[in-house]
Amino acid sequence: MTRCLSERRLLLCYSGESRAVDVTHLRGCSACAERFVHLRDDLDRIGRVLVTPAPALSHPPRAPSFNWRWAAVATAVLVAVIIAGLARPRSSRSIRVAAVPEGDASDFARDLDAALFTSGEVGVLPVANDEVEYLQAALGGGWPCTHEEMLNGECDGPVYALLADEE
Amino acid sequence: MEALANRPVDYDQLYRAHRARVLRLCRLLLSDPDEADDVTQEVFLKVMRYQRANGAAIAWGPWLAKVAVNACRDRRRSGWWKWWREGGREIQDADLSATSSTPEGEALGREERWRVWRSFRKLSSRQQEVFTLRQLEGWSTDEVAEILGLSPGSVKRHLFRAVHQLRETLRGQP
Repeated sequence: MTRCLSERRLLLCYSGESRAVDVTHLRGCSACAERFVHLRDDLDRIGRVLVTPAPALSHPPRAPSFNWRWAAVATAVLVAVIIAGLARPRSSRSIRVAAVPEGDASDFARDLDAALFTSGEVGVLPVANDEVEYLQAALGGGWPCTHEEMLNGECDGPVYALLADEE
Repeated sequence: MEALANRPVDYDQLYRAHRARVLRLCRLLLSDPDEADDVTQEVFLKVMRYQRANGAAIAWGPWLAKVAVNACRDRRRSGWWKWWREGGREIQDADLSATSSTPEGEALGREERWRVWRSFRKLSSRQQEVFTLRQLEGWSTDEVAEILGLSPGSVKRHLFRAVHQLRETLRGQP
């Protein structure tokens, strides 16, 4: 007497693809014969169900809960964004600033100051029309007199005349 | 099964002889009657094109099964978004209470139907194909292997796993 048949061998017997030795065993073993009958009945029941029209699918009522499917999608998108961020070229991510020695910076500042604020340009100021003649007299060597100097006759030249006109 | 095999093809005759079987196969593999109708039409459109292009007599039974299985596979692939949307769907209880057209169908318990269908839909696509062709359609192991492009040993393995899982379900184990 051979060993009892495995489920796989029983199925082969049911399918008509078993070896002769298995068929012989099945005929002589009541336990295997009973298992064979169960297998045949189960497959008949399954077959009868599956040849009937398939039931439709419907959405079961669900409480609003955490949706793992969308969570998986969100995680995948997040990972893709992170990977895309890491894959970008590093050179564009930061501006390189060269280190400047402190002494060089102060020299540069001094040169810049001298270039922008030359002493010759300091005197160039807007002058009112009534002051032009005074200014011209001063440049010509004269100097405005005070009122007292004028009265004492200590002023001469055009400056005096100008002051006299003003009086 | 192959009454029309290797004979000159009359399209109408072919359609009448094989349509119901192809439709049932598509319904089992797609679990959607509307999709199954569409795919069945596609399959017979291919029959017509093949007939016009070749005209040679072939074994139409296996040819149709192969084309139908491939068309169902394509439909499942193209409908990935639908699958995604409907991933959480369950079998509708109301449909299980609907009586079958046969007395046998009526005699089946509502609970048993629910469990068997649910378990069948949980099988892998390959297991569903093998179980349907081998167990329900009655093709031999070698024919199933030819239709699905597998080895006979692989067909036996898929069939064993499918049968094991379905029987476990029938006994009330998940």
